[in-house]
Amino acid sequence: MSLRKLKNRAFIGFCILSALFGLVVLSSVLSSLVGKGIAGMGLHIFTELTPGPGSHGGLKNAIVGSLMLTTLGIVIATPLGILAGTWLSESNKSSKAAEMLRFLNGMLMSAPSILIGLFVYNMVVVTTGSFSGWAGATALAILALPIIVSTTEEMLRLVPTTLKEAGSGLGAPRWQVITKLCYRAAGPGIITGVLLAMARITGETAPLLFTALNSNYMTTDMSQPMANLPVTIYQYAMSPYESWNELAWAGALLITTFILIINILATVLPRWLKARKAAK
Amino acid sequence: MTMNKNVHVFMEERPEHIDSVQTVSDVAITGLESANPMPRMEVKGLNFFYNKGAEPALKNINMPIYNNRVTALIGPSGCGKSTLLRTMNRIYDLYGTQHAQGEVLLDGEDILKSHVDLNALRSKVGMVFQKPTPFPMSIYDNITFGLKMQGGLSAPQMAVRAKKALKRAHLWKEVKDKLDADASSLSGGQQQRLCIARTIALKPEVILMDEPTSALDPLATAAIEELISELREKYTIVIVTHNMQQAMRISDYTGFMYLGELMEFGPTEKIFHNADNQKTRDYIAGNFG
Repeated sequence: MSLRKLKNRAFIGFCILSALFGLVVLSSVLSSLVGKGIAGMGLHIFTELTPGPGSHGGLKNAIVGSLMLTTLGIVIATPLGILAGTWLSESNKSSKAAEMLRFLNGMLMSAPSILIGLFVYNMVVVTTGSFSGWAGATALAILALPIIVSTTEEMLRLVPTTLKEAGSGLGAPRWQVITKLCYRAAGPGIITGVLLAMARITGETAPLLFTALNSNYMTTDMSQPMANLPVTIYQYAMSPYESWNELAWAGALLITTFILIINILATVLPRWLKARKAAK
Repeated sequence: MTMNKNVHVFMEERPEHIDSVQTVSDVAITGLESANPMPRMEVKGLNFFYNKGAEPALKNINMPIYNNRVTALIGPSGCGKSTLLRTMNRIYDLYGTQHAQGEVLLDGEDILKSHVDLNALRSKVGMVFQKPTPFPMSIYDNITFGLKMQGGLSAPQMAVRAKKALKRAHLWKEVKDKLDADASSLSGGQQQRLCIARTIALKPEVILMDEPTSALDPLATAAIEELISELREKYTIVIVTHNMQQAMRISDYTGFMYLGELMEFGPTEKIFHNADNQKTRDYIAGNFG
């Protein structure tokens, strides 16, 4: 075999090996998660509250809390993110202000989530004097925001200029062109961005540690500390009690499944929306 | 068939407009002695810049756009014909860096003035683009999009307008049973006719067309050309085209542009068979461009 062919084979070989390595790590994480998670799974997870040390129970309050925190976080971040992304995509490419915002948005996207938690702790928890669901949702919203901003900008930039010109050419003011035409054309992509942001914040623990904290009670009062899955998992997994450990695994499996579903939705939903439109 | 009908229409209409006032007096304009209708638009001393301080993309353009006539703009790529078209509804205004100097008159009013209501202007001067640009919504919503922007029409009135526009664009028969279907489900030629219908639903005075058939097959092209010839009865049309045969077939007046200048403007017949300017003759003969 010639040296050239050998080099080629070696390179391809390393590529395959690295891919396999990644796959092995991922599948072993998943298999141990499923294996240990399934053991603790059951209807009681959804119907019983988090138990005291050493006793048995479920994760009902943590599940409800997590759903509320995540939903509220996304509800806050989505309009802000879409509007900011719209401004970025509409601004002149050479605009200094837009360039600055894009840079800051990138920074925010890669900022450690614990930092966001500390920031909200200082801004909300310290000022209001208590840990609360509001503070937790705020922290999650700040984490989701940059993802929505950048996907919205990218998706809107993909809208052909001819479409915008055609809209303006019919006498539509700019805001109508954006809301009636561009959002429609970029809609599926923006929805994907929002769903991915949701998947991202669902499993976040650090920003909730200093904000929503945790709770052993079932509460839907956002002004109180709120139970949530990630912090519960963190607490229970670190504990010496076997029943808590089991619940932590079940909770981890639950979050992972939820994130998986959102990811599948993020891929399928836009395609489905487009297909439904075409079928009409 | 088509051509005969068009000529017929043309002959019938023409005598109405004799002896209108001619204010355009530029060397490039030839053979416009007496039989011209009123100019609906007039371009006067127009310079256009894509960027501040850049070379002008249009240099001192002067030309009339006659009422109820088809005016074709021809010339090699990059000569400024689309740029000129895009000043006539100020669509260039969407891009902050571009600006025009001089005058573009519509019914005697300079549309380049900064106080002009662009949305109102654009419903008076419609535009059809090179590639069909159906909006991501139903066929019916495409037609009523501009009407809704304009406001003032009830839903039934809008439906009447939409039907009329679709009929006039020869699309009604093909789409009447699927008005709720997504506009992207139509063929390219149908989409372009939809864009034309969308424009005429607003009852514009002038329709600007930027190479409206360059993305279409010959059959769809023929349909659009026939449509343009009919639309002339009601509208004033300016069309940019790469296709000289097309300009010859459908236009009454032709402007030949070269390197940002209007080299010659006159009746299509004269430009194609008896042009004054050597450059025009060379271009028509296919010697360059």
